[in-house]
Amino acid sequence: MRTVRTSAAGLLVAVSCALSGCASSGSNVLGRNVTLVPKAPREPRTKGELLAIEEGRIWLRTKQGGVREFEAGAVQEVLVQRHDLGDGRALRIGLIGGAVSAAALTISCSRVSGNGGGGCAAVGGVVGGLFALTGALSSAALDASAQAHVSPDRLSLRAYARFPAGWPRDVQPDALAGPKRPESHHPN
Amino acid sequence: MARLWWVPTVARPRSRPVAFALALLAAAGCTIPVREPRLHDPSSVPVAAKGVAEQLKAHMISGELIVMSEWRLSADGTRLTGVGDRYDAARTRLTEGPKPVDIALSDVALFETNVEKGELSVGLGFLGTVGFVVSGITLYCTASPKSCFGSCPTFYVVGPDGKEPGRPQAEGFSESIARVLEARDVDALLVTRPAGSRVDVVMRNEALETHAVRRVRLLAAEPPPGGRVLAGTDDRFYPARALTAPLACRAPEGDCLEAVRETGGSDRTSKADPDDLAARDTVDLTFPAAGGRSGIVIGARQTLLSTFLFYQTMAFTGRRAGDFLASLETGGPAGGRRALGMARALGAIEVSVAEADGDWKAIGAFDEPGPIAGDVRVLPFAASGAGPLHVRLRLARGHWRLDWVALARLGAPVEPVRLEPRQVERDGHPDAGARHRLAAGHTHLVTQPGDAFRLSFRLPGGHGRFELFLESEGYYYEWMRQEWLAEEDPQLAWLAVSDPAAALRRLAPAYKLEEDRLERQFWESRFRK
Repeated sequence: MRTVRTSAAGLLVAVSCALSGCASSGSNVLGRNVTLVPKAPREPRTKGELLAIEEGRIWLRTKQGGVREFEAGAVQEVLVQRHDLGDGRALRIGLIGGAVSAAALTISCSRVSGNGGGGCAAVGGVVGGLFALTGALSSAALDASAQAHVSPDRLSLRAYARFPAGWPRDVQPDALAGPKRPESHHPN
Repeated sequence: MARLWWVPTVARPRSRPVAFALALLAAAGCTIPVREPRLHDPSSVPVAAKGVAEQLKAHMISGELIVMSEWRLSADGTRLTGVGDRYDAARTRLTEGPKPVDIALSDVALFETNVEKGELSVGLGFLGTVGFVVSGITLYCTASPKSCFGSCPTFYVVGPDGKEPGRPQAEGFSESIARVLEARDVDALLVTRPAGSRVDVVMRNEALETHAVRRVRLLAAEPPPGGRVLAGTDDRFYPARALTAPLACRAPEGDCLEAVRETGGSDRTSKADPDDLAARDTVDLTFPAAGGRSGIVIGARQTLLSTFLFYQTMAFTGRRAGDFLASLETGGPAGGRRALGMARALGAIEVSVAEADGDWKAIGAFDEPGPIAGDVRVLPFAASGAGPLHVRLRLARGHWRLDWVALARLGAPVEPVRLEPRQVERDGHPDAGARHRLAAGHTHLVTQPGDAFRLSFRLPGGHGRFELFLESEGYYYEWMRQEWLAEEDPQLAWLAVSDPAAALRRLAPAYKLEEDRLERQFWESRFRK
């Protein structure tokens, strides 16, 4: 029983957290997470930290830690992360919250005399399903607002880079490669 | 279990504004903080401004980054001083915590500030509102399952520590399952209460029911020196002295003396018969000889057998439960009692006495319904003084939890003082309307699951020792449950009403499957912590 209550309390905290601004972020020293959408339809998209934009070139530091260079002319658009509630996070909140709610309600319901397991499961399923469905629907809206569509030619794109003034003279791209992530990565 | 419908009654819309306010609160908080960077040429150092430029990022030509929380341009306009954190090009922090910085503007490639704005998000508002409501429901239901999923009002007497006890001391009018069966119920309050004349009682609706409470009163009677006042099965109150424990107790399972010689502790119970739920047990007790006006004191409560049977009756009526309850209302009290036929067939604890080698003589029955809070009653009889006194209890197997059996010497009946609540609070605020209803008894106070009222009574003057009883009057309606519909069986519903004895045989196997689980689950879930 205590486990159920703890789970429910955790659920409330998680939701309250989402409401009160878990999406916010503190000071940040890295470039924004971006997604490069290639002009070529069969080319895969590339995600990573925007390092620099200079002379028609775009540098990304990918999640694997490598630094890759792209020709701006080959890029259709750059999707810039605006907040971190996108990327299916709302769906995950809905699914996890729905599962916890469904389990907690089913267990607490079935502990009451006279209640059948099937009926309790149905109640838990409906309530949990509602949460999950809400997560799915919200996810569509949040995912859309989580990214700004920016042309690779726009000067304003530079503001999202780790080095907005271009590559520093004495820093080679390879020097930034590697798995090390010096600071937590937030969208700003 | 899902709430499918409940018998029509006046449902207060009280909870709607609360839910609406919560939803608004949730929606209002659903803005997503988004930061937009602004780049500035080194020749135009931005001025610190709340919400616009609370931090200044100096992107150095070398690739280093200095994040400043305070900054000031030197008098000659060539240097920037302040406090900040320094990072190398790989964004490894070079200083531990903010340190004073002094940089030449000529070494700066660009300055960056960030504007933070809250972006209203319908998606987050939607998720937040539903999530908040679902989380609240889940929390509430896990904390108090009975309130969400679960008879009759429960009463908790506030103790000396100012807190409610874990279990209720009384449950009101358990058999009044329809308006036509509205009844008055009196329960002995075996409680420790704070010193002084004030007695606070919390009345709760902890089940999936609608309660209509006509009256709640506290009955106070001064006990005789060294004795008690006990409610009789004849609805009178008797001063009782010389409460005597039995010398022996024998039941089919063996010696039962330890279980019944004192109130509290373990109860004497038995398992229901697997073939006939109405099958009886006998419990034989022996007391020293008694003379004059005497009484057999019994403290007991029902098991969940009667609850199971009532729920089954509701389930068998299925989608016609509304018609069933309506028929109770139009059939008058006699018709209503037919609906309780199986409970009637299970019966009360029938009590007989025999003095010395004399014949058995029936002296009455203990028949306090409800599985939640037990009750204590005395069955008066005239004793001749021949001894020893033999007492025989006859009761349906698995139907009763026997807590206490004693012999008492009774005085002439007394009349307790009937006290109306002086104040009624709801959610910490006085509720004059509720107080008026409960005191006057002309109309009903209707409560819904989760409702709680704190009733304050003032004891009369005297030597301060009072035996307390709670008198409640009203009726309730059980809410229909989704899973009950799956058990709809008009023939069994008819059998339960027309031939309760046959129904008790028919339902015995089903109850035996649930018997152990029902008790455990009920006591695990019934009470709030």
